[in-house]
Amino acid sequence: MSAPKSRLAVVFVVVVAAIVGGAALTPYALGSADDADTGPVSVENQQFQPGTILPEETTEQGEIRMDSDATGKTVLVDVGHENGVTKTQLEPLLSTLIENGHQVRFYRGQRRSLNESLRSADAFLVASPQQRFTSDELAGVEAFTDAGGRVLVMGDPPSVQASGGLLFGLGGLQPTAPSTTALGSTYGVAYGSGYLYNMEENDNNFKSIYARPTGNAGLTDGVDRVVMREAVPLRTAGATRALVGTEGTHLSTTRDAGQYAVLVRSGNVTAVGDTDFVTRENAYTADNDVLVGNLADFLVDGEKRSGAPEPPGADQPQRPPAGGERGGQPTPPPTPAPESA
Amino acid sequence: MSNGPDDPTSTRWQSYALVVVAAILLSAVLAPVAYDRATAPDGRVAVISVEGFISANSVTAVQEDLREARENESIDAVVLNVDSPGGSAAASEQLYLSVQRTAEVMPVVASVKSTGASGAYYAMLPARDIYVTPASIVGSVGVRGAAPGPSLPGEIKSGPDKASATADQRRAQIETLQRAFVGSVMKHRSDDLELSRTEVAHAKVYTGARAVENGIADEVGSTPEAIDAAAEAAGLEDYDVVRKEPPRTGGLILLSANDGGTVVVEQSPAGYDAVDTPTFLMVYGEVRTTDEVIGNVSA
Repeated sequence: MSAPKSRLAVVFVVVVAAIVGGAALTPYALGSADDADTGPVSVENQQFQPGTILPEETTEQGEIRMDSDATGKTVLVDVGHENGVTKTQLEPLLSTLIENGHQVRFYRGQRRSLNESLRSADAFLVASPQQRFTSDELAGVEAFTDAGGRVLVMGDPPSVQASGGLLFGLGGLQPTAPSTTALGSTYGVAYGSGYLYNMEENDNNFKSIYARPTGNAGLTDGVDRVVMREAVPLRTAGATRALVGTEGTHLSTTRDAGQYAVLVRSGNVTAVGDTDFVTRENAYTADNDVLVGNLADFLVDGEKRSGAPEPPGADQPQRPPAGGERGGQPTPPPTPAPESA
Repeated sequence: MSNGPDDPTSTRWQSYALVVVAAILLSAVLAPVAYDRATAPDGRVAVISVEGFISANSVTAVQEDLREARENESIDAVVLNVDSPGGSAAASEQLYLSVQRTAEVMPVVASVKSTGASGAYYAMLPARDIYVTPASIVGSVGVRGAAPGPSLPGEIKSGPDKASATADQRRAQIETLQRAFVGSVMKHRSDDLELSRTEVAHAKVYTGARAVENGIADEVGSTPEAIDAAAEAAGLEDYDVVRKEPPRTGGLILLSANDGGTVVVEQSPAGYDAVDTPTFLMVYGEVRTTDEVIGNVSA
């Protein structure tokens, strides 16, 4: 008789178990452990907590006040040079002037020349002009300030760039034209290139820099610090630097830190490196309201001789007939922009 | 003489021989299976692709891959294979959190194929190492936001801030997201970084070698090296690689190109089809939708 079936079965199972089990166990005997105990995952992100990331906001309160006791002055506002700033944006400043009994007129460059318009004005406000001023207009502005007229120039980086990096902010006083360099150097003011930024201390976002008074100009009376949303540095030889960016202010084009002026005054001319600070949205941030009021005072505090700028040729030995408004050298109408690039 | 065929001893031995042969035959079938099972790789490394614009759609698929990696016991490490200029700020944060959760339970290593900037860099932060090649572009730690267009004529709103936010509010919102982003960079990389917090916040991009030098990235190496590193970190001597395909987003994204960093999208993947919402983006490059330019790279 053959081997008992049960024994055969046992042998079968033992052999299979030995071989298969050996194959399965050998690697473990050789050693390779697997650890896969995973508990619930919890992560803590302190850097997302509100206290860590919510920015502090600069207070927005105050009122725009004028201290000047001058009355009835006329401020001419330039909107005839493709200005990059609308009347709405200038509204806080213009409203302040009107509220205090002054007159605001606009130069549109349509019916009258700039010089004609300036003749009856006491102050001239130019914000972000995109179109060049003609040489006649430049001469008129110079004569205007020589006669005691006040000029406030506001510029910002795009307009400066669009007009090719100018001097004096008059929207591209043709930096390539030497004749206009003379005017800029008269006032000693030039707009730099690029914009200012401050990564350390800003009013939310790097372009909104703080500027503080240098302490030696009436323009900044009552101002502790102002916020400029997109400022361009002003370079000046002899003008007074009234406001400079706080420590840590850098220039975008060079990435250099420095004491960059954003408000300078040279006699009857004041230049600001920003146009946004005056808008209704920003006019109450920090001490912007005080600055806007001071600029309004500056515009109306001048004592301008009437009649300036005189008609072209008026300073020649032979004065033109009084009726000839435009004299022998008619001022070209600026609207077609004969000299604009 | 010899035993006859009916010799009981002989028959018994024949029976045993038969059984043994049968057992060996069966074992021959089972043993390789058992051996293979026992000698299977120590584990697996999942390679999860993060490609193109990071949108709500694309990030969901990647999050699913990451969740699977966490829950699948056979996966021991993850390599993020990144080629993205970033995307929506919210989606990038979601991705960051998913990667962070994954990195809590297994080694995660990131490998930048071409671009790992802005939101994509955000997502890589929890990785233990970031591998780049010299031509990789990484960094751009910044946020940007576009304002929605003017409201509909004749629209009536229940409050002044209903449809949009003022510039002040949006600046504050951008600043908030930026602080979270920069804070995350400092949290994960401050030990390696040669850059200050302010320098990080400049949102500059760096090429691979520079990034390794200044601590924005860790190693110069390709994806296989990143996989090796992940396996080693997980204690795997031999391992399998499981690749997760990059998510398809239903043709929303026409092109996510690395040519000059331009991302062209058919519809704003960061927003909603019918509504022009304020969108916060963590993206490097110039973003164009079919009808508007959202923004430009800051200088």
